[in-house]
Amino acid sequence: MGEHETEQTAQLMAAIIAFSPYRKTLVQIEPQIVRIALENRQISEALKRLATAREQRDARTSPLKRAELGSDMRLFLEFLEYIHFASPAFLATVGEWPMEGKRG
Amino acid sequence: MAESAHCDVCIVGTGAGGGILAYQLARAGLKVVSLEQGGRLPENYFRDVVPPGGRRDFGIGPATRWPADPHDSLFIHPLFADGQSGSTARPKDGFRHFQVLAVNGLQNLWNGVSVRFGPGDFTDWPISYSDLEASYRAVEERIIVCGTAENIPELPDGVYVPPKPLRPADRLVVEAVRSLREPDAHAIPNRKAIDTRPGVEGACVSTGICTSGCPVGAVYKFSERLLPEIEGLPNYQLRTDAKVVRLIRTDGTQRIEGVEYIDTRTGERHIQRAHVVVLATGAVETPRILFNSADEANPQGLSNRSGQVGLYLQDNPKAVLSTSLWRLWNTRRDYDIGYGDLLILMARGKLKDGSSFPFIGHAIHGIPDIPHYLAGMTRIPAVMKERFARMMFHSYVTLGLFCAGEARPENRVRPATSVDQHGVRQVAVDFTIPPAAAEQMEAMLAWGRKVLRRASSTSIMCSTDNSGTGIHYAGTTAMSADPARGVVDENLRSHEIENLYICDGGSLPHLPDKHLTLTIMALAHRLGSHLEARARAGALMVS
Repeated sequence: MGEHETEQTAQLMAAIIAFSPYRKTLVQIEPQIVRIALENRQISEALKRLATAREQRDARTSPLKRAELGSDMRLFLEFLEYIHFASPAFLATVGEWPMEGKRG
Repeated sequence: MAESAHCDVCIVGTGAGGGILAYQLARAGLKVVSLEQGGRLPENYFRDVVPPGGRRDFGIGPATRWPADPHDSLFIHPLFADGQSGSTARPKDGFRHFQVLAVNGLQNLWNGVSVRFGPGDFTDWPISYSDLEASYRAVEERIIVCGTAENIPELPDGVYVPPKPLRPADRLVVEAVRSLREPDAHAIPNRKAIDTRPGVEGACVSTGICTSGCPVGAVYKFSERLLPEIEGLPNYQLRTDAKVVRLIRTDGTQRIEGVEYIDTRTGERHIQRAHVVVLATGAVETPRILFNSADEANPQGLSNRSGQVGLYLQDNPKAVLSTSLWRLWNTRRDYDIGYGDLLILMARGKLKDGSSFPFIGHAIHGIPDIPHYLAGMTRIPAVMKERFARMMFHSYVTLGLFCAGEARPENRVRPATSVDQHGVRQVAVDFTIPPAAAEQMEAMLAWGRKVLRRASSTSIMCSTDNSGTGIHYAGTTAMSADPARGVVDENLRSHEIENLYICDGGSLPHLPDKHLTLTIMALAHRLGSHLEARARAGALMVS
């Protein structure tokens, strides 16, 4: 993926976070989520599909709408939900963060 | 082609069998070379690079997929070889072969379960339990196994350090098994190659999971425990990134003169000459080497005039059940999470024809920092999900139950037409789940459901499989007193090639329900004693 393309998909991932019911905690770790998304094969492919579709509609610079996610909507939301429930913010509420030195 | 100096014993592979054997022979003063096709993982690999659980990147890797199947989560670990580098091309369908190309092999991801086979498990073997008993003991003392003596005839006791204490979830499962009042059903502390001794450097730090690598090396691995004791010896050499292509037979004899391997970093081919060669590379890779060693006198591959190499591939059929125990809802953890699977479960499953079969397994309870439980919460609205997740967080239990494999000639490893990235011919696997296994897996599920219900289960997520995901591969170079029915004799020596030995899961003629790793290690120890004795008698170099 080229630098421009990477930047574009990264921006899309950041925008998708706003559609998650867990956005309040997720925005705080947005750079980490974007990096993980781009490194994950399934999510990065879905982001590429989305970027291509927006480019074809000449909608690259317009705000992302929920409907544009189409059939990948569920995938993105599951990915973000997974991160929320694995996040330090959630784990702290069940007494399991920080991890180090608290498990024995 | 570059040639290395002659050694007494060339051991191919550094996993369960190869590690124990290299240690024993090097300590005995023999000139030993270990060839390992992978590299040595960085010391901090399981601490910082790919730590277990969600510590790094929430446990998400390049291959993680959604919707996630919790029972498949182990199988996407980045250490598993792909179709470009492994023994097989890893086709999408059919048998899934898992292989780790690195020093320690599969033991990098081993959860450490170390049980002895029982006397009845050696039926149709050319050796008996008593032939292996001393080696079991020696290996247990060498690798350190935690557990308890239970006096169960089918599961002989060994030498143990104390296990970690049972947790509330374990106690519910123990009580549930006890309430069945089945004479053959047991729930006992697990026996694992984990150093639990307090204050010992590298002792268990309670990650709650062992199948994704141990960050402190508390689970036995060759590189952590035995290699440091021998790698400075002048008579021992570990050569990594050395992919064995074939064994070279001396013309006019049934002896091997050397091992040809590729240095995978440079692409150069080398020959390691040796008086004795031991293949300890696993029940799929070892046939690959033997097939690729075919020559004019042995057109089907070395040690394969009987046509037995590759036949009878077995893996343990398994049933996996996961649930949330409601009696543990709204609890906070005030206990040591330990090493995940603290319990061994044993019982007999009942089949429709009235017969029964033994099975064994483990009960797993950890900290779900990787939220696999979400797969069971898809119908709960997001607004409620967080509350439920908190309430149920410390309540999850998984049972993994395994029964014996079945030795069928049609389930086999055979030469393939594909080649790996180095141009080395791969093998393919033909495997059909035996009808009996399908029924046994259902019977194990029925038993597991019964136990979990008594332990206060909620909905139970179930799966079964017998297509490679047990990762207990056996049977393909079987031990037999009869050269027509096996590949190696009772000393693991090839029936056809006088200075070739095989010491891995492939040597097991029948795979019982119990985990095979400790038995492979005990066989390696026994082989070590045999080779030591031969060396002392001056017989190692004699044709």
